[in-house]
Amino acid sequence: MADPEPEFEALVARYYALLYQFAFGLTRAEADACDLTQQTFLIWASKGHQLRDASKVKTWLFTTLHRQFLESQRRSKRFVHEEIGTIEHALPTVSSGVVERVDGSKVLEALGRVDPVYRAAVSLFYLEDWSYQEISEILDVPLGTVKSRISRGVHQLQKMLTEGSTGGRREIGEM
Amino acid sequence: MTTEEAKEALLRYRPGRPSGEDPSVEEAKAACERDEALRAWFEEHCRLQVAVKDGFRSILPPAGLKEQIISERRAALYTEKTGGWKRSRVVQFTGVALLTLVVWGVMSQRWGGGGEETSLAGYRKRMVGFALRTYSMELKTSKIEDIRQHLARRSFPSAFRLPPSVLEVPVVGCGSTRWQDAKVSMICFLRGEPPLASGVESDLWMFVMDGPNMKGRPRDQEIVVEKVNRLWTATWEKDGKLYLLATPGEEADLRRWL
Repeated sequence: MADPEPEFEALVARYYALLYQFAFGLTRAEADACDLTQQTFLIWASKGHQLRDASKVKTWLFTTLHRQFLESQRRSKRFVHEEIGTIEHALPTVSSGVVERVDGSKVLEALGRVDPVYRAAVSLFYLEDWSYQEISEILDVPLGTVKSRISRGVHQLQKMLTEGSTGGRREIGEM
Repeated sequence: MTTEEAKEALLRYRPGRPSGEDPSVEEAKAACERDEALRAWFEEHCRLQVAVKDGFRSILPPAGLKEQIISERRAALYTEKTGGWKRSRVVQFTGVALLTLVVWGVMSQRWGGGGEETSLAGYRKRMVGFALRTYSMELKTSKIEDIRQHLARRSFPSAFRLPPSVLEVPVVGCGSTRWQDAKVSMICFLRGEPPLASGVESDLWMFVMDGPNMKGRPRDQEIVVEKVNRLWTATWEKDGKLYLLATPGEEADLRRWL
């Protein structure tokens, strides 16, 4: 069958890698990230025509993928989360050696240890330079919550990377 | 704004992007001009932000994912056309998507959904996905002994016993993956019927894993046959190894090799 849906295929070609990156950031499992990405395009094939504003396609895809992820999480387990008012600990000092040692695998490993509720915001924050407003729409949370989650998530990520570089776990207050 | 408050705001600073959407970041940046220690912290933080961003962007989708998504869509369209349905195109799209969602939902409910499924069903799903998406083999060879040596060198299962009928199929190479931290060897064969699409190198895969301990594992002498995605799979256990054979086509195509 020769290209029955060139628009669909063009959409896949344009966004599948970005969606996969986001999915991988959420799941940290290749197979799950592939499934989420594929599922997102499947839903687009059935519902995409309902989207009136063509400029929102990318946001729609990311929103859909995130909803699918949350749905799968809801079925598999429930994690308890409390939004914290402030960051309790002093922020870590980043030594120049840490930056030199940061690579993709270390980032992913650290991301996996970030509180799941912050992970989506952090992934979007780094992956695509989304605005706060866009992240708010994708995650369906208020703007203030987006900022809060980014701050806490980045703080946790930085903490993991800093700890990782010193070869052992330390509380931030000790640094 | 205290130093700690400034640092907290600066955590949201993204180098190379206007920070006008976040006034507290602007305020914190202004504080850097007055506080040398804060400025030094901020400069290092920016370097780390760039490194982390590069790290995120180094995540690459597995080979074949795009083709897999498109081929699944084509397969769905083909099914619609040959199904003789009289409904409109929109209704057909919706029907297929809903059916898939229902099946996906039921399977997810049944086997725990989300995350890594630790049952035989989860293992099958993962391996089928691996076979469908990964067309690049670690080693391409027509010699099974070369494959055994390659896998043994990497400490992957290599002392496997293949059914005589499978041994008659030309072997073309091997790959490897992991499941729940266990090493899984993949041996690739080429049936070649019907002729494969361009870029596809094998159409019969044998997965071998040592010492499986999973829910739903086959009982002694039992062969579990199940269709997963576009592949028919047969799973059995022998001498402490779990074997999974997968191939596209009909169930009869699979049973020829058992």
